[in-house]
Amino acid sequence: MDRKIDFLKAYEKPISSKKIPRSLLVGGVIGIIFYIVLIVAIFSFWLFLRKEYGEISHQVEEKKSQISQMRKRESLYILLKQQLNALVKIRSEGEKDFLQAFPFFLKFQGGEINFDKISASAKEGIKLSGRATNASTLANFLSLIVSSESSNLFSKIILDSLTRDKDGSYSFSFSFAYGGI
Amino acid sequence: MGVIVLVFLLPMGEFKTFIKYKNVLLLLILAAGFIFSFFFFLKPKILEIFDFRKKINQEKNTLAALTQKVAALNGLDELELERKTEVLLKALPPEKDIVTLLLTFKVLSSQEGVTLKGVKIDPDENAATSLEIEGEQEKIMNFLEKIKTSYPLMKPEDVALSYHKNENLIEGKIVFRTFSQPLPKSLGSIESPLLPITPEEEKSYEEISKFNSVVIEKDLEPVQTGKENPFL
Repeated sequence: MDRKIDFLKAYEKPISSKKIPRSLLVGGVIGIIFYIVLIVAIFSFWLFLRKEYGEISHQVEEKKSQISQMRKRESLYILLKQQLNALVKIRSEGEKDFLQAFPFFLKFQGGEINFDKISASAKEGIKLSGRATNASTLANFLSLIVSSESSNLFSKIILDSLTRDKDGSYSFSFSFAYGGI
Repeated sequence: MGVIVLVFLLPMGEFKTFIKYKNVLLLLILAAGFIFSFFFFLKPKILEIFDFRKKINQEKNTLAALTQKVAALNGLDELELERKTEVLLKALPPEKDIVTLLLTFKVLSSQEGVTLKGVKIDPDENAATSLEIEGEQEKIMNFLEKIKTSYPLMKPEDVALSYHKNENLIEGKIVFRTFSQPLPKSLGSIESPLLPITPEEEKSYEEISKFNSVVIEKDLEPVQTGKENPFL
């Protein structure tokens, strides 16, 4: 019995792919699922935020158009506010309203007390010069000038000069610094 | 897809190698997919999410401010605003109104019986205005009081009164400070809020609204002189 042996036929080892450990495979699948869920969640959240942003932007535009329709009213208000602001600044500049003090002096004028000059400045105070017919009139005038009424108006009263003239009259000049005005 | 095409183009020996390592290759492709999708999809989207959240917060703040502004504007009465603005523009004109100042001095001096001896008005906004007057003590004081409570707003800065001997006449030089307020150049951005009027401003307005307008519109109209028709 003849047996033929084919020496030329080579042994072929079956091709088999490298096996991946099962735990790695399961972990990989879970990882992929988790990753896909993450992507979907992030994408959905992104879509939601984009929609919300669009809605808010639309509302902002609506409000802007409402304001544009009331531009005249707004401009009037801004003008009013600016004028009021300037007015408050002017009125709070702290300058003394020296005209308030004038009635205090002017009630002495005439008769035995005669003023020559009154000068008042918002910054420097009031200067007053005049004449009293006699010493008692002058004394009376001095006592009135330093009364409680004047202390409400002035912080300092300075007698700058006092001269007795030949006819027995007295020439005087005072300076008043503002106080409570 | 490109990878699959490449696989079929491989020579036999290398194809066998591919089959042998196909699972490893699959893992590598998946890993590459992860990396690719992370850098080209996930990361930009996450950054955009942060950006959106920031923008949404900003827009919410803007919306709140605009809603407040719309409500404030709706609550304003346009007629009242016009009336108040008109009063304030009379008190604080946009520029030094020389004609109104002159007419105010002229009208008030004749009303109070004070002789107006001289007026000096400098067109410069910051320059003082001075008056030379003569009259009785009481009348001069009334004149000064009336100027203080007339439009446009003025403040006496210096007053020098000289008494005539043996007469009840006073000669005076008064220096006034006049005020003006230029009109706003722009309204500002649409989002800028409306600042509320403070009680102090309200009080100032109440005080100034009681002032008198000495000059009426009629006084400012030009007076026609000469013939109406020069050809007749």
